[in-house]
Formats: sequence, structure tokens, C-alpha cells
Amino acid sequence: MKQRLQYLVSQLFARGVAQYLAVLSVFTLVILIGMNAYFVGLFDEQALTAEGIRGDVDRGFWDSLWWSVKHVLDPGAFAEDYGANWPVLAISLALSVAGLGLLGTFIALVSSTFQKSLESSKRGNSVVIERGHTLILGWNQSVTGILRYFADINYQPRIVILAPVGVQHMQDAIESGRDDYRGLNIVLRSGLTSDAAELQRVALGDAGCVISVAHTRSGSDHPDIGSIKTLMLLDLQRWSGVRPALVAEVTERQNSDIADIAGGRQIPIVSSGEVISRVLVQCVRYPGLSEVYAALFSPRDNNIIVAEYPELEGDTFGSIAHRFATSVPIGFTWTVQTSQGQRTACALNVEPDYDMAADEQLVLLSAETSPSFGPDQNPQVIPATIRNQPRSAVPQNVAIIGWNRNIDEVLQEMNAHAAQGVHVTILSNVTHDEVMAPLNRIGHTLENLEIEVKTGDPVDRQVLASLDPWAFEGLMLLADHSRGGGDADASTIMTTLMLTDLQREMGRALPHVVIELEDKGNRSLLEGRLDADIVVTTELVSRHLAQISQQQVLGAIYRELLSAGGMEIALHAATDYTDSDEAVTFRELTLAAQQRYQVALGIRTDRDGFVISPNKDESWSLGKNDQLVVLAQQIYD
Amino acid sequence: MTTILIVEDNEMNRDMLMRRLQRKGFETQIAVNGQEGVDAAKNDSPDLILLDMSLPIMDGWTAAGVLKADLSTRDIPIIALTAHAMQGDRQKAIDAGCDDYDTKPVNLQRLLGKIEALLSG
Repeated sequence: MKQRLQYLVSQLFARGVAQYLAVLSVFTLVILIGMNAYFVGLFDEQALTAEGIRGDVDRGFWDSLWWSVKHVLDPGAFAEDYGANWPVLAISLALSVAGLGLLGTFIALVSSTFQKSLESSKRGNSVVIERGHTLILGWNQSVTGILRYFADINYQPRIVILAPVGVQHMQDAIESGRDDYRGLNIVLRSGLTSDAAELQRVALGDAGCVISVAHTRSGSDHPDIGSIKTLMLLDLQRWSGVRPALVAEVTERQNSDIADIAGGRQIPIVSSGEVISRVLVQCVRYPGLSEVYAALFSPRDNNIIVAEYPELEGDTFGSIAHRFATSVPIGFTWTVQTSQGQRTACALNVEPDYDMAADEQLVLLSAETSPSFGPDQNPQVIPATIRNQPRSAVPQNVAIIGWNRNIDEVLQEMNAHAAQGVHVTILSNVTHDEVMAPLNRIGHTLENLEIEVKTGDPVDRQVLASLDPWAFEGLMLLADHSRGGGDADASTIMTTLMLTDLQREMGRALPHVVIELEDKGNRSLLEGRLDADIVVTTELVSRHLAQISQQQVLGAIYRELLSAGGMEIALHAATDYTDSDEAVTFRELTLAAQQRYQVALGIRTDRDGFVISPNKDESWSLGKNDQLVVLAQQIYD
Repeated sequence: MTTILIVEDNEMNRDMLMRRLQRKGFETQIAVNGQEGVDAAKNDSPDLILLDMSLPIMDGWTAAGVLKADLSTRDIPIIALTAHAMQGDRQKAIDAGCDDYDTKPVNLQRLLGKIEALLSG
């Protein structure tokens, strides 16, 4: 009982209620003491008149209460006591002094409470009362990219961020890019995303969309454990209404499966390491492809959309492709029942004779939000000779310059695309054992790669020249974390400058370079210096997450587009698709691609660069350097 | 109803094959790696197996060898599927015990012809 009482008292004080009660009690006591001056007969008639207790009300309790309260609240009232007898003067002086103390204490308390409230608000400790909001759980470099994406699409729902970092830290990061986030309504809260109570504090149950970002790697053996805990809580959550759109990021590919299990196999998982490594490797395989990915993930350009077209039921995929003049149908989705619930299945680049079923939705690449279709075009077969089915590109000799924790994922991805015997040279500050350690830990053997590790500083001109960069089919500059410190782009920028100078000095063009940057602000520094694909990986991952949060089926589509062994976006010589020296329409190229079981997505010409999803009836004069951008099954020699 | 076991690690390829075969009246089972494929074949005795060759845990060539060496599964026809277009791959698949071979992208009419031929033979 005593302990219970002590707990209640301590809780009262912790909440600041007791202080107010104490002030109120003393206030009441002082007033009552003051009132006694009348009841013990200290006032004579003259004093009563002087003090305003003239009997207007009752010449008793209420009049004395008025007198006492007046002296406690207003120290100036003492001045009105001139001429009163000394006991009245003494009591009114005591009341005024007590009043000064009490009012001072009260003002201090109010000020302190207000201050605490402000501090609590700054710390982000208060409760969020929202419905239909977008909840971002966690904090890393991707978050600002996600916000930028949402600002670009004029996103209206309020965005609440709960992260295990200080609100000021988040505020500073957001303030530094204030112009990029114009129009967004952002609420910041500090707290653990792996704590159920904290998730309820940000109204998880009423959220309309939830994006869980990976915690920044800390060198832990289990860098994704925080994200996995969050996923377990999301899986246990009972939603008050419609289940929100969910997407979660983990950093490492090998954690994707456990994260999938933690989320009840109902939440799309994005492994940022996997996405980054796949895009980097794809760009090594198909120089220039970064522009296609940039268009694909851009909020303003061609996007992948999924829409219902019941009128097209029974039409073949081949004929549907020709009915959309300015969009490119790329596949179908449908719902599959599984033991864990429902799953959206997806098939891209389906055969031209596949007829659309009633329960299927069309997947399109389009710049329009609701693409419309026209009448059946029944295109003529063009006299194109299928010489050879274009093969997937696999460079046989690649140099990786720099090191970061994704290098094992990059090597695994290269291994998956290689048939055998691809030579990979790694130049960085780390040793062979350090490069191979993560692969050894997960027991991965790179049976198709021959790896040579050269330890040296990639920003040292002599070291770089001794690598003989011209000896390779492709170079990949990784955001270099081997030096420690926070600016991984520093080495990349310096190495790029060094390579540019080597190229100038030797008068020989370097092979194609893929450059990984973490800060999008550095892109403009490197553009145009080399024949290069520049991939800003933080932007890539954040756009990936933001898009999937708005359309969950994109998770499966992007996974397929980037993975080895399935469909891929490829660049093939336009001359593989047309024998004609005359101009050809994109419709004819679409048909030529269909004959090769591919989907024509766009064109890349020397003159126009990449043109994705051009009008089907637009004519193109294609030369030997021009390429067709296609969605194709990966085929290796 | 004829049951076809699809052994394929790529989810999208698996979904597509399954859907197209189901729409043609086949019953389908799935396995996502070679070992799962061998286990499913032994347990469920499908009428035919479509076996991707590039599989995790146990590749398709090894799985085909295991299935053809086992009395309970040796008579199940196997069609190898591969995205590798080298001439030697066909012979390699046949040598491993596969009854036929097809390359990706899958042409369903061509594949159905091979399935019918093996089932009727």
C-alpha cells in the first residue's frame, strides 16, 4: 500500500501535477488566513470602510474573501490600506508578500510546463493523431530522396517519419533541401521503430502507406536486424481499416528471405544492396542503360503502370501492343492464392499469341496516367530477316575500382550473368581477404569469375596507370568506403578526374565507365567527363521504395527486370531488327521485336539519344550505331 | 488430369508457365530448386517434369541425373529448359538424362508439342 502510494505520488510529480496542486493549496491557505483577520475582529468600522468591506454583499464571508484574494493577487492593494490599523496593515502586508511568492511560483510553473512541452515537441516524443498518413519508419540517406520523389508528384497525404535519431538531425537534413520538399506536410517523431508502443504513437494502425527504410549499417554482423524487428511488428499489426500499402528495405541480399518471412510474405522487400549491384552490373553490360532506368524511376517520365482493360479480354498480347499508340504494354498481372494469403503474380514479355484473361491486368510503360487504346491495327509483317536472336551482353574482362560493402553483391551479380571465365580485377585499399570475407561468410562460390585483387590507392595516379584501364571492356567505380569517413564520393570524384587526365594524356578513349555516386549533388561534377553511366544509388533506392509504396506490384516487376536469369531491359543493334535502309516506324520495330519474343520499349539514336515509348507511327532512319531498347529474356552464349 | 512438375527458381517464369499450362488443362506443381524438384518428383510422381537447368542448391543437370538413377522416378519424362543457347547444352541435357530440351524464351506451342509427344510416347 505504501509502495503504491509512493508510486502514485512519484507519478504525480513526474507529470508536474503535484506542483500545481501544492501552489493551489498554499494559495487557498493564505487566503483563508487573510479572511480570519475579519473574523477575529481586527477590523474596526473605519478599517472596514477603508478596506472596501462595507457590507455591500454580506459583511461576512464573501466580503472578507474578496479582501483577502485582492491582497494576494494584487500587491498594489496594500497601498489602499493607508490609514488602517496596524494589525490590518500587518496582515495585508503578509498577504501581499505571500501573494508575490505564490504568483511568481505559478508563473514559473506555467513557463516550465510550456518549456517542457516545447522540448518534448522538439524531441519528437508526442503522440501523432492522423489517419491515412504515410509513415516512414527509420532514417537513412534514402529518406530525403523519398521525400523529393513525393514532392515531385505533388503528394498530398501527411508524411510522418519515426526514426531512432533526434528530430533536430532529421530537421537539419530536411531544411538543407527545403526547396526540394515544397508542398509536403512532414511530421517528425523520434523513437525506436522496433518498439510496438512507438509504432502506435505514430498511429501505425491508421496509416495509409508504410515505408520501412533500412537502418544505416553499423558494422554489426546483423545490419538488418532493426528492419527485421520492424517487419515482425508490422506483420502482427491489426489494421483499423484497409491494410495500407507497405514496402520495406533491407541492406543485404541474403537478408531478403528472412525479412520476407518476418513480414509474413505479404510485404514487398527491397534489398538496397541487391538493387544497387544489379543496376551497376546491368550498366556495365549495356552502356547507356542508366538513362533508361532514370526514365523508368523518374516521377515525371515514363513509368510502369498497372491498369484494368476489360474490353481487351481475349485479345492477344501481340495485338494489344499495337493498339496503344504512345504506350508500351509489357506484360500482365493477376492474383494468386497462396497459403499465406494473396499474392500478385506478374509475367513480363509474354508471347505475342498469349490471350488476355478476364482476371488479368495490363502492365504498361507509359508517360500517361491512364493510357487509352485505339482500334486493332493488324500490322503488316515487315520483311525483316531474323539473323540471330540477339544475345545478352556479358563483358569478359572488367575492372572494379574502389570498395564498399556491396562489392560482394556486385560480384555475385556478375557471376550470375557470366557463363564462365569472366575476369574481374579489383583495385582498392582493401586486401584480397577483406574483399572475399563476406562471400566466404555466406558460403558463396563465384564459379564463373576469375578474381584478381590489387591493393592500392585508386586516387594515386601511378597505381591507376599501372592498372592499365584500357585493357578492360568495362570499368566500374564504386562509391569507396575503404578509406572510412563519411564522403564515399570523394575517392570516386578524384579517380574520375585522374582517369579523365590519363585519357587526355594518352590520347586514347577509355572503355565505358560505370560510376556509383551516393550524393546526387555530385552528378553534375562528373557528367560529360568520360563515356560513363552515372548511377546515384541513394536516389535509385529511394525512388524504388517510393514507387513500390504507391504501387506494390512494382516490387515483383522491378525484381524481375533487374535479376539474372529472367527478363531484362537490353540494348541491341537496330540493324538486328530491320534490313531496310528506308525509314521504319516504331510499329514495325515493335513487330520485329515480337517476332524475336521481345517487347520494343524505345530507341536510342546518336541524334536523339534515348526515346522511350515513342509514337508507334513515328518513322525512324536507323544507322549501324543506333539501338533498340527491348524487354527480352536473358539468353547467354 | 495430367500433372506437370515445374522446377524453376525464377518466380515470374514459374508463374507464367504455370498459368499457361493450367489454361491448357494441365495440373501443375512447383519446386524452386533442384533438390525440391527431386523430392517433389519422388513424393508425387508427376506425369512430366519441366526442369530449368540453372537452379540453386542442386542444378538441373544434377537433378536430372538423380531422377533418372532412381527407380521410382526414372520413367518420368523430363524436358530441360535453359536460357543458354549453346549447341552443346542440348547434348549436355540429354546426357544428364533429360528426354527433350527447349530454350527460353519458351514458345508455348513448341513446348506443348514436345509435352504431347513425350506423354503419348
